[in-house]
Amino acid sequence: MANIEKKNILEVRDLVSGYGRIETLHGVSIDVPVGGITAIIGPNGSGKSSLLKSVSGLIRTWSGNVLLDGKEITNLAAHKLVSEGMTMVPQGRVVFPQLSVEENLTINAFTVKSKQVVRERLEEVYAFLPILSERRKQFAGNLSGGEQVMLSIAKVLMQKPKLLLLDEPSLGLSPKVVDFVYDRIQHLANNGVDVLVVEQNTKKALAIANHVVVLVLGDVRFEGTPDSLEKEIDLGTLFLEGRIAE
Amino acid sequence: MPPMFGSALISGLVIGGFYSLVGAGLNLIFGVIKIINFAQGAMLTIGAYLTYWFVITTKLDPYLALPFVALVLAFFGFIIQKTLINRVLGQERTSQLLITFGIALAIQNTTLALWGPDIRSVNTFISDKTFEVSGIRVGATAAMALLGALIVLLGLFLFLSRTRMGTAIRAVAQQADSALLSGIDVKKVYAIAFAIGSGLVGVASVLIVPIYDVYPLVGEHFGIISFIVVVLGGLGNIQGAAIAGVFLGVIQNLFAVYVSDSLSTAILFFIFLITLLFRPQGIFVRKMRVS
Repeated sequence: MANIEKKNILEVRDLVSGYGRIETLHGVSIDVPVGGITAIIGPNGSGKSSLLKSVSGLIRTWSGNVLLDGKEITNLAAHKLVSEGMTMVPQGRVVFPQLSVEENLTINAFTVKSKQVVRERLEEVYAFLPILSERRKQFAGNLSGGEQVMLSIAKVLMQKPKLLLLDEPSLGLSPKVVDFVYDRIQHLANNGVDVLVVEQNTKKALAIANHVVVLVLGDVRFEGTPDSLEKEIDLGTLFLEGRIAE
Repeated sequence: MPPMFGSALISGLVIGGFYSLVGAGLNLIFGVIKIINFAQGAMLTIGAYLTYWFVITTKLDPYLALPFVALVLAFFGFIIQKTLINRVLGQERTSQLLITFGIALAIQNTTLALWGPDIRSVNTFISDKTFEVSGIRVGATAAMALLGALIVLLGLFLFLSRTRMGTAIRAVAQQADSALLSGIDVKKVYAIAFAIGSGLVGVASVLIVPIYDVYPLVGEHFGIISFIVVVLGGLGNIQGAAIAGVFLGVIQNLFAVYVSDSLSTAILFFIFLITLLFRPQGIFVRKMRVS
């Protein structure tokens, strides 16, 4: 009989982590279901970025477990996670400014040994975002802000990940570019890439997510669908006061 | 071209080639790992002694030691990065500064203990050969040094700009965290960069030995000058370092011939200070930057 149990691409269990001696995550457990977009929202300083960094191996997990597709990946080095099928786009500048656009793309396929495969993925990316093909010889640092965002998304495509982690993709972008970025994220999700996105822009995140996690001061306050979130929690109060309205 | 100017120019180019090799290695290490390798000069001393040891043991020509010395030094650099420097990278700036300084002192004292303070020299099959270029006598060892430096630096540019590992090195130099997320083992790239930087010193030492005497402080002069090379060429700028090295060599020799021999090294430090004061970003092209 077919397994009808809901599967998770990523499971985080009782994760404790932080910076230096300061604990920012106090035993966080979340599920990222297969198929679709999971959004983590919450006020500033609630540990959203720490969670992504800890999951992706950029900062150490003090205790707890992280499972990718059922496989234990707790504290696996960041560069090894790429071959496991998980990749993260960090906040802010994510391109190598003094590599050409094409070098920025091929370097993200660093774990792919076959030149033929790299070539094929490059062609796919250029078909998906033709502007990058025109700019392929230019330094990434000379692209416009919007083009750099396109390049960072394209870089991810070179890795063909199962799970994509995005840390505040809307940060510092004009509304038009944000719309474009979210359209591309939706497109990736429709094409079989599971997405975990951390967002300050709650409205935007809730619009595309089918699973939501609310993180407040290092603890999970809510996990479920966007619809049930709106019934259960007054987000305005939560974000203003950093706690759930009674 | 007047012969005196010509020969000063040639020897300036030769010594400049050495400065370029050692300085490019130092700049590569700085650009990628963001540490200052105070042991660069001491590594040159090891290379010189290895060459000397190769010659007296095998009775072969010193130039044949080139692949051996370059590889041994590259391996040595790789191990230093893996076992020592990778451990202090997350720590305070001072521990990072002092560790390479400690390595330099350890090397100097070990070479002194192993070989003593005596000055030694090595001959090659072309030691007494010279040839003439438009009225200027050029020593064959000088021509060999210049040619060798040119080929190796060209090879370095091609490696950094054309190969997969070269691109990875430049990526790590620009943003190490993003490089991790690209799937690059950053600490391994650090070790490879340190190995290449040390290998360049190995090449320089083999080319130097037929021209200079070998003694425990032979590398120090080049080590110190390589800092001037880096400042002039721009931090992390490999191409700038190559040009700055040659520039300094030529200035030093022309100054020695036409102005004052005894002040010819001091002039380099004046250039160093003036550059630091008025153009700290360096004065040469910024194209082939690793960072």
